[in-house]
Amino acid sequence: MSARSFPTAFGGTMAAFLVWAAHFTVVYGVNGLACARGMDRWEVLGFPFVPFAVVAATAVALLLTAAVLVRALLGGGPAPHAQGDPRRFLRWFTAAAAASSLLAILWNGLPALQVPPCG
Amino acid sequence: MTAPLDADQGLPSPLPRPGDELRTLERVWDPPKGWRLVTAVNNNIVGIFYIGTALLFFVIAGLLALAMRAQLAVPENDLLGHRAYNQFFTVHGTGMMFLFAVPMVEAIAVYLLPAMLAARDLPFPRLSAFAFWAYAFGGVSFFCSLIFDAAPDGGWFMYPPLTSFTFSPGINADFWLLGIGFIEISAIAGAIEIVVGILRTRPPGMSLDKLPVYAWAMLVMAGMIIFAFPAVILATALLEIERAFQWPFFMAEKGGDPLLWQHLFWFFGHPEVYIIFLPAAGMVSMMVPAIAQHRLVGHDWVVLALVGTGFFSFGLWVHHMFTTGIPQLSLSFFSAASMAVSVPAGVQVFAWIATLGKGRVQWTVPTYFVLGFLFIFVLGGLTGVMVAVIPFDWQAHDSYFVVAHLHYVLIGGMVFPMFAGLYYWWPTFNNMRLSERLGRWAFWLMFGGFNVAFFPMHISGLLGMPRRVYTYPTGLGWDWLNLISTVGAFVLALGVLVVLVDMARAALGHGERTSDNPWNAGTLEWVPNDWYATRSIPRVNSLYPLWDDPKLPREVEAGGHFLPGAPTNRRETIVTSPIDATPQYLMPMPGPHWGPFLAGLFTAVHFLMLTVQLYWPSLVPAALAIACVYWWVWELDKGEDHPPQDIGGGIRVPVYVQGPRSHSWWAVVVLLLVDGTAFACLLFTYLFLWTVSPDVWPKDAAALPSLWWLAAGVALWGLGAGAMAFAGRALARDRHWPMRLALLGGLALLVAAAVTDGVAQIQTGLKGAESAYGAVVYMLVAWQGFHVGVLLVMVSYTLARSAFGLMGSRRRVTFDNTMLFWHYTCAQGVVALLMVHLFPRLAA
Repeated sequence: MSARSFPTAFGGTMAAFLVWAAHFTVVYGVNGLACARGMDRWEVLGFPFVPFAVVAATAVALLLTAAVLVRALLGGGPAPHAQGDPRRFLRWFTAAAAASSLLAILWNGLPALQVPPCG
Repeated sequence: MTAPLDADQGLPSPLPRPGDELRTLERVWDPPKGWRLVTAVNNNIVGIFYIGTALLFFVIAGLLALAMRAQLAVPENDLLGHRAYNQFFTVHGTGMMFLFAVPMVEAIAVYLLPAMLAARDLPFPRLSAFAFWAYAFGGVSFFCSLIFDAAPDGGWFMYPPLTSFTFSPGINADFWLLGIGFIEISAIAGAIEIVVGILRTRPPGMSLDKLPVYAWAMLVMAGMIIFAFPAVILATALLEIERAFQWPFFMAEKGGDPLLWQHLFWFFGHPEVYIIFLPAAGMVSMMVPAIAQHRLVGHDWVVLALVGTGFFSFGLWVHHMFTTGIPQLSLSFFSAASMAVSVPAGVQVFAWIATLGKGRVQWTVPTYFVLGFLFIFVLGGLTGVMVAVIPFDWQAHDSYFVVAHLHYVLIGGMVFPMFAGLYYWWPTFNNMRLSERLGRWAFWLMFGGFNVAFFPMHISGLLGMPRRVYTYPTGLGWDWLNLISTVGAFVLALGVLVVLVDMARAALGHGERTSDNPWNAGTLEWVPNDWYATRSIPRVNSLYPLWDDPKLPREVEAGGHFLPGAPTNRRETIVTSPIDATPQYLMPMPGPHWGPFLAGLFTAVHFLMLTVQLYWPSLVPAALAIACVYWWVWELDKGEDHPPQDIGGGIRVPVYVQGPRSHSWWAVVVLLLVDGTAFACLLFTYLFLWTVSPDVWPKDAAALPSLWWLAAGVALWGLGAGAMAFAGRALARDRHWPMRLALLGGLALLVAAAVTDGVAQIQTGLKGAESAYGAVVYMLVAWQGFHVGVLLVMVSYTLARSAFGLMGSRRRVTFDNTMLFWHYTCAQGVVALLMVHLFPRLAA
């Protein structure tokens, strides 16, 4: 694999963690802004704005991470992957990182259902 | 007696090797002698300097801790006054975190990584040497501030408004802000070196799945430095500018916010804990298999845990701010992440325990220190989960409970593994082992002393004793607890003293001489080596090559593997591809030079003069430092001055590449990641201040520069980028004068763009000192101006090389470096313009 393709391979391997980071940034940013600007009183489709936004962001992040997981499990990405081929390790890593991120995203999103946004 | 190696074993280089090959290798890697040793750049020497200096700073900061413990031994003590005590705890914390822990883990990497990767050196030896000297001079200056009663006294995290010009008017705070900001540059230089070294200088065959865990840990740690340290560098710049020019980033009455500092500081500060811990965990993952004589159980999971910790640690910073009034749900996000990060730490702990359980443990000093680490770190981790629970944290915040927790994590998580590593890897230094007897004494003194010192602090904290008090009244139930802590601290210090004595004995030749691989370890740092590292660079087929191929050390030592000599008659190492570790080219490596030493010295003098407010005179050492850097890099971009070389195994590789495959390109890209992160933090600063203080933002577009200024700025940055693209194409055709004219013209465009951005704001009457809005807008302008200033230096160097005929279509690494930074600056300029012109319009 040439040096040119390293950013692609690296980005793919870390994709699930990057989704986790993006989700974390979005939910923290939305809540911070909502509390600073009184947007926590808004409603969307009859639901309070902040929990709705956090749940929506969490659902999107979970879907993206699940896609990374499924793609890694089904053999997407670089192939073939014989024993001893680093791509085999990278594929395993991608899937395991995605599974970890799924749990982490869910864990991080759950407080929105239990805790008042600005309390 | 071992049998001679057969001549025909399918090795990459046929045996026996020509007689003069080893002599050439020894000659080109021979280090400077006597006082010229300061010009050395070889990682074996710089690494030892680095480790020794970090240990020295550890001892100094430790002595300050002893003085503090002596002061707190009894109530109402007057051994240290409050002023001295404030300086002592600030310098202790700062010294331990910035001048010992981070430099030490980087120093160990400088020393160990090339050996583990069987590289002849790290890819930028002179940068390593510069980073070391800058750190050493800067660190000594920082500690000397105590002698002049000028040491910082605002705590290691330097919260404003306490550290603002109003409440800390002297130069004490400036010592911290400029000194630490400058030393962080050294840490970033080290991180660039580590990233490029691990990804590009591995031995053939060491694909990522065969990368030692320590290298993974260092890769993650370097990545964390790249994304964490820019936040604190920006924060220190903002606070220093506020102190110098009264731009109110942190002044609430003008729209600033002290919490901005806390966000930026802890966005760095929490990952910092893992920046310290992960390398130590990596060391443990190397030692445990050797101790147990068993492969690391769950190797792949440990790698996953390292990377996962690296990411998750960026979601924890607000748990240092649970009592600052941040919205409840926001706190919950950070509380959840703080608990989640304990999972990957647990994965590693279980992997180590399982490895020890499945193997046959050798009970030696490193084993004791590793087990001590496990015990102490797990306790610190458990109290970490406790303070991650928000209601508990509200009770324990700023109490001695937190002091106990952080010392359990940091001393348990970093200092004990460091001493384990010291005893474990010492034989790679002078083929001697440190004393088992003294080592066990040291361990028990340190382990016992540590727990006696810090365990009672949990109780004194829960009894209400606050941190950072220089004394306390009697009768609060804290007296005996403090006395016990003080006794424990001195016992701990005695343990450290025993280690220092042991090291001195061994360094003077009184240690026990030992074999090349005394622990029967399986990794490459135990292959016999010299100043040139290993005689040949091995072909690697597994995670534990020495266990899977016992003949390997002898084959390597006989020169049977790759690059057994110095075919171009100079220092060089093999550059391999980042995933598969396939040989790509032969990188020439620079030798000893005065430049790094002098540049480090002049850089330190420059920052010292800034600290004492000699602003204009400080330009002299700054210019000298830049001149020294010019001097050392002048000879580096050599071009293809030799034909492709045979490195063994029938592989011929070029001695020069340019473009994205070049290690230099990689280093600049990593540097731009640092730069981009700092810029992102600046954009965060803008948005944060707007969130908390919308009233100081313009209410309508009339108060803003017209959109023509935006259009002019974007056009100038765009034209500047176009000029560079033209220059690049001209160079590709070896049309030198068009290239030079395009560079000069483009530079003029960039200067005009930066000036336009500034004038656009000035003509509206906006002033930096009037509001947080003005401050952050001018900061964005100044940030861009600084980049243009850097480009002035880079372009002048590029043109100078062109004028001397040292650049061309087939020798353009220097040009490419400038080009990358140039294009980044243009893109950043456009983003900054859009932010300052469009965002207020949209927000209004």
